[in-house]
Amino acid sequence: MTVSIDLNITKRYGDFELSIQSAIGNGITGIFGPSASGKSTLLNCIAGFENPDGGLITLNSKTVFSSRPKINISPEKRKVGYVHQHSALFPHLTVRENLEFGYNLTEKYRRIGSLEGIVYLLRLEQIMGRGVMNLSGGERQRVALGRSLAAFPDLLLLDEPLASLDLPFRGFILEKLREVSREWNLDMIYVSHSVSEMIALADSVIVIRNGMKIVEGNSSLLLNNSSVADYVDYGSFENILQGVVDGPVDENLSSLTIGDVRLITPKLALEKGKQATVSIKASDIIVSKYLPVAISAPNILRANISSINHSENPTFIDCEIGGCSLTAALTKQSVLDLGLRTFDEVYLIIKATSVTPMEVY
Amino acid sequence: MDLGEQNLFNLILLSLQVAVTATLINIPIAIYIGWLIGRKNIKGKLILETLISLPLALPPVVTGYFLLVLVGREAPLGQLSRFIFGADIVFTWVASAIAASVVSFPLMVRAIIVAMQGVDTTLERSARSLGAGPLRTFFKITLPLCYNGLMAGVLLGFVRAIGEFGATIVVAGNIPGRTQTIPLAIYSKVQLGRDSEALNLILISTLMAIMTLIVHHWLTIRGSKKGTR
Repeated sequence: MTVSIDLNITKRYGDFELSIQSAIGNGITGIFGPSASGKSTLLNCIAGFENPDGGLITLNSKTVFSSRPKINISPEKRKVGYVHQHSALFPHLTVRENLEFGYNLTEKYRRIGSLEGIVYLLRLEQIMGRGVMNLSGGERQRVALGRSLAAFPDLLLLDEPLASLDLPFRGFILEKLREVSREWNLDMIYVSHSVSEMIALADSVIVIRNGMKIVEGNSSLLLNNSSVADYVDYGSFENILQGVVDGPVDENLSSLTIGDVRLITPKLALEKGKQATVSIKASDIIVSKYLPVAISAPNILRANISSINHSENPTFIDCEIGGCSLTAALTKQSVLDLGLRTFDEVYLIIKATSVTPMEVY
Repeated sequence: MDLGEQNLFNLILLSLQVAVTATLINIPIAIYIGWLIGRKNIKGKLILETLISLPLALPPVVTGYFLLVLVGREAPLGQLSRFIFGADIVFTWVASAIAASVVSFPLMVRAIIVAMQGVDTTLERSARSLGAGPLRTFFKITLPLCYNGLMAGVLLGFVRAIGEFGATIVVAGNIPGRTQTIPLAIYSKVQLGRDSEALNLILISTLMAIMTLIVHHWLTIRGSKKGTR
């Protein structure tokens, strides 16, 4: 079920005031902003954990909060799932009992899948009988996601769910979020301060700062909007890509197909035909105007520049290559020296070791 | 062991009857008050906390006097008891249980408040977002997570109830076979110079206290390892 959310709320804590007015559409919406900007407070208001001081929240045209007339639907009746940064699993229950908690409370007609299906999706079969206190960070977050999905919410709120995870688990969870959003038609609001995650996952993004909405639009605005530049760590921006494993190339390398692009990667443990997620740092991509020859990097991809963000340093060059897009980070001087312009044909050079697999085995 | 007018078995039984009744009266009230103070942002929290701790700060004899004012023969509660049950409360084992209940309540409730404050709010929020109402969340999440702290509080209250003396002697007297509990019997034996009989009772009471406190500490240590993220 898809939900559109209309928000017009204010919430005050001492000197801080959250004041947001927005109409959130379907798909995955990112909430982006620095620490203490009001992101979690916004999620708590939508979930019903905190009451706004005033305003209105409607989920799928149904008012769940209104200050006038007074309406306040309790959290358990809103059908809004919530995945916390620290997973918040019930420590006195096993993994299975955690998953069953919401599943057993969900009316049968609302269950659009089975518990076993969720267990299979998130690869939880081996840990179902274990207590949650002995799980790794990645396992805990998979269980937390599974527990929320098992209650079959209309909307899923995710509060920095990948913040404390290692790279492979981040890739796995991102892949599953995309899959669930697509196949269950489940809308999500995803809070993070990672530009890479936002670009990889979110269809649209709302940037908030000091409790106010600064800008909203397509997630790529995070790379070319000056209003967010001062608190974004552009140096660490990475392209997160999903493809299908072709198989090994030699004993050290594998091949991955992303759209029409064949990418040589370090050896992948996943079998041929399986989905895999990889990460490539924007600063690791070399841009050439001409086809390089006699070069050690195995990935030389012919691309077209779709946009150039001139306002920031580094300058981000968005490129289209056979159905996928890659962003390269160059210095302003390099862009000037090469005379790069939108629609130019360029070659992107990527070493195999610059491609980092984000796999969970 | 013969203790003269009253045998040891009956004495221990009456003491347990009084302490268990006092504890059973306190448990639901202490859980409710513990939840109010530990989990809710209520107005007048300071006043409530002061009131529930008052028996801890007052001399037990003063608490006993207040109780006498409340449940005495001419007091409203005393008259109500005569009207409903046809009997007085004062100078009965029920008065002993009420006195033990009031005096042991602060210890029990303070332990429960601490246990409830230790439960991570996000766990309760998670339960609510999964479809559990406030009651289900309380019984399935909050209560199990503070179970050890709750049991520690119950044991602490029980051990205080079984040792209660000051308030009990004012409101229930020291009547062998009717209201005389172990501490009151010890007092009587010492008064009468029956030191060896008093010593036996002192040993029993010390053993019971040590055993209860060992279980209490074990539960407290176990509780501190639970309920964290």
